[in-house]
Amino acid sequence: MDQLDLVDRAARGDRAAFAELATGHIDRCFALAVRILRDRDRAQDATQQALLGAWRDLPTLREPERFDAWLYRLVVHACYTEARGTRRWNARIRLHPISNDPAPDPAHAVVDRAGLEDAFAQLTPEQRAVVVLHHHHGYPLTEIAGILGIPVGTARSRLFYAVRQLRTVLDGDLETAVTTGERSA
Amino acid sequence: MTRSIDPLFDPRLADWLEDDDSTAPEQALEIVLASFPSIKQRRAWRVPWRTTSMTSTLRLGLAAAVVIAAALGSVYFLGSRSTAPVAGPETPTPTVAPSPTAAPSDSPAAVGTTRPNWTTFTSPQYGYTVDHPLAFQAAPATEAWPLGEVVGKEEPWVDKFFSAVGQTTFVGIASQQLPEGLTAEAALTAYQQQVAERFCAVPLDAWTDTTVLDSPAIRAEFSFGDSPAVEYAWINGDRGWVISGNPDVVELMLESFEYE
Repeated sequence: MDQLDLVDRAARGDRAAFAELATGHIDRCFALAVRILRDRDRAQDATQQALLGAWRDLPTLREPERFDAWLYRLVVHACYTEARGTRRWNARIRLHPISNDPAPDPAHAVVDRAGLEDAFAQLTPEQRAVVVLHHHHGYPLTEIAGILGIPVGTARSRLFYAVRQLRTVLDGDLETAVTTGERSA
Repeated sequence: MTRSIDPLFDPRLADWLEDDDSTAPEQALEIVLASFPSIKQRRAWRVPWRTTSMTSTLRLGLAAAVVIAAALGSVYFLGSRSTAPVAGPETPTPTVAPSPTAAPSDSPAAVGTTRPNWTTFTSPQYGYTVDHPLAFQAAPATEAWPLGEVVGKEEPWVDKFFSAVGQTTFVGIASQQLPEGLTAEAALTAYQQQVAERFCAVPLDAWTDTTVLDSPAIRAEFSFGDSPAVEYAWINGDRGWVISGNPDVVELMLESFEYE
């Protein structure tokens, strides 16, 4: 049975069909949520909310062939709710040790990961969603706009400002790391 | 100074995102599969306008019927409005301030006033209805709230709503019959005294006066372990009510609260 049949049957209350849909999509939903929220527990909550919401609202889905995009939209909105509910977006402060190993360019590797994590934490949930859908899922901006229900220009500007912010923070961290490394050498 | 463009930046970002886990915990699927059968699906309001068997005459007839029905509906609606009293809605609404975490306006599932990803709970013990997040598990009270006892996570007289993961977010609701002759003010003062001695105590000076559902109420913010919490206690007729827990969820749930 193909996905369109499953969506159609689930929309008419077929529980087995929805169970199959949920089983087939839960990893993709979670993958999206965990990248937006950067927290497995909250991502699990958002994934569950989205899938349960999908079951409830499936009869109102007008284009069954757009099920994937519609479900992603539910996941993203569940992430927004989760993020706003906990209000911890900018409250994380962590110390990242900078390695002194003489391995090739260790500062870049450490700064990349640590810096990206911190820079990403400073983005709004809306910006994160666009970044993840574009840079991880590979969606073009027109499709992202469709998924999120926003104008293409809004999607473009969210991506532009998000990437600019990430780049600024990363470049700043890198300069600091390199300076620190030079001083300690 | 002009910043040079790093051509490796986008691949770096994609690689970093790729490193994250992409497999949902098994528990997540178990919870979804266990929970969804108890959730009622929304009704579809679809009209098969474009079915191939529909003739143009039939389509015109249906369109005319819709126009007439809409016109009749408008007349009825306007007529009702013109004769209705100026008073507010029959169903009382909470007077607490709306939370900034209210559902986004462009939410895909928003239909009417129902919040997306929320569902309605009816208390078997106390009869009220309230909306709560779908991902929260509701555990209804199994016995009536005795006088002199307080509201907590473990108490069997509390309708409990837990976030499914780790049960880190909690909201509890309970109600009890007040002793005959006790005024609302005296009942609320007595409740403050009780809660000041509770395991998760609320200091006496933390309470402020407010109203909930047009009834006299008190409100306090306090800490539940490391988490912020809010508690409302209010009197409606001869019953006292309490809702306590995560501030964001409590405020949103109160907006949908209705007595039996």
